[in-house]
Amino acid sequence: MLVPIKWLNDFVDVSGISPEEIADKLVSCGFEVEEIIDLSKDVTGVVTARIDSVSKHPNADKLIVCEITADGKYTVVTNNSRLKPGDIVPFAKDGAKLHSGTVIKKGEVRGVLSDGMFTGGKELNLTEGDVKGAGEDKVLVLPQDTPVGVDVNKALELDDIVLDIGITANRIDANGILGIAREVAAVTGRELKMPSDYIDLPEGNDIGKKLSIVNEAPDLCFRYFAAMVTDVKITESPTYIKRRLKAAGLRPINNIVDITNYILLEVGQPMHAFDLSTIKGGKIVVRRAKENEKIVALDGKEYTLSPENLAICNAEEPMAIAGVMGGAGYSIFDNTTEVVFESAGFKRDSVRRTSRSLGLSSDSSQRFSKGIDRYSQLMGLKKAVGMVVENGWGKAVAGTIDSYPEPLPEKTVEFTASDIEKILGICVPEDKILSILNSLSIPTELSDGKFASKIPGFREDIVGVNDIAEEVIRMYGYDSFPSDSKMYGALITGTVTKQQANAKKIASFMVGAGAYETLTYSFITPKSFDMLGLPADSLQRKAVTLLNPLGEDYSVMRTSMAHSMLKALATNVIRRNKSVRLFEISKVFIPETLPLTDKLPVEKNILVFGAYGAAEDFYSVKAVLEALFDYLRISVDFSAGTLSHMHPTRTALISADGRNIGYVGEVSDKTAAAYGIDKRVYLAEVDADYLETFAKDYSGFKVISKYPSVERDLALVTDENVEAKKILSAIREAADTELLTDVSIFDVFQGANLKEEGKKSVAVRLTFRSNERTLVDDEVVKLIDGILVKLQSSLGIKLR
Amino acid sequence: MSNDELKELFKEQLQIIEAAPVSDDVKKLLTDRSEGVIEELAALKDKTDRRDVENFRVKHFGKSGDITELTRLIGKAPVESKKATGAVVNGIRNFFEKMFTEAEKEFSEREYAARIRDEALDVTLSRSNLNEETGALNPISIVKNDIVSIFAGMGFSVVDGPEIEFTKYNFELLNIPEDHPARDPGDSFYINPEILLRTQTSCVQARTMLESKPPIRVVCPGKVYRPDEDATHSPMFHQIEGLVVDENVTLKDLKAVLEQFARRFFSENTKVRFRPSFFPFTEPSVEVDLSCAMCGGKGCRLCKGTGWLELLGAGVVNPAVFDMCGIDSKKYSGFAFGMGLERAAMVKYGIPDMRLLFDNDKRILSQFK
Repeated sequence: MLVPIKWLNDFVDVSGISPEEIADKLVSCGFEVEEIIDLSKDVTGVVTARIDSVSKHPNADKLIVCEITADGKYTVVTNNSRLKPGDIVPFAKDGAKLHSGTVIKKGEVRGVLSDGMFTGGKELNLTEGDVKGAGEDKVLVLPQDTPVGVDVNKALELDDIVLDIGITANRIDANGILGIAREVAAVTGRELKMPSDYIDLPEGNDIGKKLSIVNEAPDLCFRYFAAMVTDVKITESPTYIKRRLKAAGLRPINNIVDITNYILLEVGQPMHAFDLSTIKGGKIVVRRAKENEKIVALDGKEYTLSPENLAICNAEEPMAIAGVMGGAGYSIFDNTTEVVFESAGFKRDSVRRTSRSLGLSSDSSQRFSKGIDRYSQLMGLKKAVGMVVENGWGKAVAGTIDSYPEPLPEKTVEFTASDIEKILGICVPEDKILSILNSLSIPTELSDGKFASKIPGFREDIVGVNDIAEEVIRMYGYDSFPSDSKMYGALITGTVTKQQANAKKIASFMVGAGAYETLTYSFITPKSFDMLGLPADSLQRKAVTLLNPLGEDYSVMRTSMAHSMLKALATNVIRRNKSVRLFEISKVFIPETLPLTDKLPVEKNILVFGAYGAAEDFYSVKAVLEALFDYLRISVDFSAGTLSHMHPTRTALISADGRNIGYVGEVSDKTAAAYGIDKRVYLAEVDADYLETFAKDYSGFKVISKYPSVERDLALVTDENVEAKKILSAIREAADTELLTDVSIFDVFQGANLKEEGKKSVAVRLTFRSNERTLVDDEVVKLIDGILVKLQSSLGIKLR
Repeated sequence: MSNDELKELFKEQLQIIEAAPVSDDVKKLLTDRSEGVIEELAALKDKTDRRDVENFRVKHFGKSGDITELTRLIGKAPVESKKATGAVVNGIRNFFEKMFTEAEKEFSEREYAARIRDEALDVTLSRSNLNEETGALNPISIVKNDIVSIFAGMGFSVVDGPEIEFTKYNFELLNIPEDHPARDPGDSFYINPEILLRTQTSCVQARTMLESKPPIRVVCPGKVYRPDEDATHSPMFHQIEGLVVDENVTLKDLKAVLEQFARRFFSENTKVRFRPSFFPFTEPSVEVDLSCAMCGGKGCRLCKGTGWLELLGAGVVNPAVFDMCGIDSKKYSGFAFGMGLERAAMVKYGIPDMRLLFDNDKRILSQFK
């Protein structure tokens, strides 16, 4: 919201208070001042000057030499030979800065010293609308009543300061100069005065003879309020109006249209003006548009309406898209003599939806979209008729037409000073509360320690004592809260659930394993399903889709972490990082049914781990997971499996308690290529919810054996397709687990050294130990024999 | 001991032999053998192989070592000179044993010194080996963990809620009615008119109040989503929300809690400032500024010269929210606060662009070890 100080001054006398002070005070009471804009700052050192005499340049035919009076006597050489003594012109002195940024220097022009130069309108950032002649590309000759020797910005009243103020969503009343003025009055302690052109609307019912109102959609239009002026003369607006509109980025058009825009800025009430002659049947009908009803709006484009859109119609057709834009054929024309001012209240979501569905936005629709109070319609109409009458542009017609089915009820909030203290925690004296609320135009009375505040129509945001407390404290000052105070309350222990604690434990482990934690978006591209080679019927393709994503690449909620991790790996590969380990624990979203109805999708936490580099292979990546499971005391089972995006013979599925909890392996080269990766990369996904839930704490101390262990290595020859897992479990089954404390494979090789094709050599280390005695050789030999027999019989494995 | 000293001591031994009351044969045998041994003993000084030392021991002190053999002279000696023979033989044996022990110790010392010399490393050298590299959490997790533990210390529990959420929890129960501009599709990612990606962790507030009874003291960190993307906005980002519901909770208590937090999170002398603001679910609402972490309040680039950083939104829980969430607003009051973790991380680590937090390049991630 742009607020020129001069405009503000129409309502509150802020003389003697600097714009910076006003800004600080507004910030202190809840209005963020984003910028203080000095409109005159890009043109400096330009003063008004009267030309005293003109003579020919001694050395150049096309130049003239002017002796001038500004804030002193100067000489200026110019080629504007039409200038004559007595003309008042802008004079850029030595060192002056123009709108373009050019700095003027005095200097000799063909042998005659010129103290500066005369400027045109463009150099001063003026247009024809500001000063007549400013649009022409020559020296601007100013009106004869312009004071001489003063800064041109001041002389032309361009020296305004504009505050750019952010308005919070609750303060819909502050989206206008008037609303801000109320705050400034309260916060500076000065009086709020209403300009004289807020007239009382003339009573009577002359308007009823020419016009009636039918509101068929009170749910979308809570008030349709209109007044009429007649004998209207369409003309240009006075300079101050044009300037104020221009400063807000609005284009001056004619006095009547300018009035509607001026009120939008001053009151915050969007207005519309119709030429009465276009209101066929003398009837304004507020209704939902018919399907495919068409209107050509003021922007010259045709819009097709639907019952979703509210239209302001005459007896036959739509004249305006309610709150958004008027129709081209129903506005104000040069020959208009009877004008109907609309000052309506449209529901914000209705205007918002219409604006969006038509792709048409206007100052009016933007204002309505924020919401409008039920007070501004009257103020807008008073001002509109008042401006016409005061400027002598026409006559007011007695009476108004008004559809206002549910007038705002009178609202009073009652409270005590201690109610306020219970909210704030500090005590604000009663007299302070009283004066603050009254200064905010919230009429408040105090009797017997009880306050009663009558809530004015423009403060629909105030509903209860908490709102009153806020009004009080934002004026009383938030710096009234002491520092270093204590909080009292029930004794509560801050707790972290087991899952939360384990999540942190997993992350720490992964960091210790050399992995960096990534951060990836939860929404991914639907192309990822093909990039991962998922089959057409894959459940992973059943993803939640956003209605309004930032783009297709961010349009579906991920059902696995694979895509996100592969993208992160690709980033590192493409940027030539030689190796990396990455991990993330984030949610995937698994809908039970699609589309979503009354059931939210299951949100599952997944641990994803990705790696590449010279030191990585399947086993190095798997080792990280094995160590993690060990750390969490979760026993798992790895078995060969296939997944569409993974290497067919280098992928292990991980299960625990008989359920699948993830996978680990090498990414298939086809998938890697889809991500622009030309290296072997490794990927694992594990159900983090499972890990967090079933991770076990340390429990049950075991006494260690005091007897020595016996280690034996066996070199076995087996079919190459016999998995390590089978060999190990066969050994465990065969041996007394009390005595066989550990069994591991420490070497596997295949090749020429083995006499038979299709065989591999597996070196197994067995560790035996008893808790009760030192094992003797014979015992160990017997145990090994038993193992060998079992290996032979169940898997055909022989000693090498 | 040098070989010269050794030989000097040996001379004494030779004199003892010479003076001993034993036969000349015995004297000669002892002298000859001793001279042989002393040469070898002296030679040990130059040996570098421990086997030479062991060989010496076996040759001279073993079962059939030549010094061991000398003791047999005692048995062979006539009765009258047995004692004298014993004295001189044992004397010479003790002498050699003592000298050998000395030599062996010297050898060990030499051997150890040589090994230490050989094993010398350039300790300033580093080996680059992936498996020895430590990873790191990303800055959002670090900041989240820090903040959570500060609040846990003040009795706050950690709660979580769904990221795909009903509008009921994201809006209605937070006093954001159907026609509120915040519900515009331009400000939220919708899945359907009733379900969206939560735009704020405040929905967890509503869920917590519906599910538990006061006193409540919780924080809820998590991902939230809004359709913005530039240097200070990401369509997915993280917030942490705090909620206190108890009897007699006031705005002053909020300031006390946030002051504690700011001092732990940034530094002991961080100041807290309230500015009026608006959030539908709190009334009164405040923006909370902390004195600038970089300049301490003097004014710098980070705080744009103001000395203050806007970091949190907060306020007294709107009684309308209590009423909707089934908490007696006559009896209980509360406060809530929320902050963006990205912003906190950017301030804490001086990260210039929010998008860098989602870049996932190792060169960025590895800075946060």
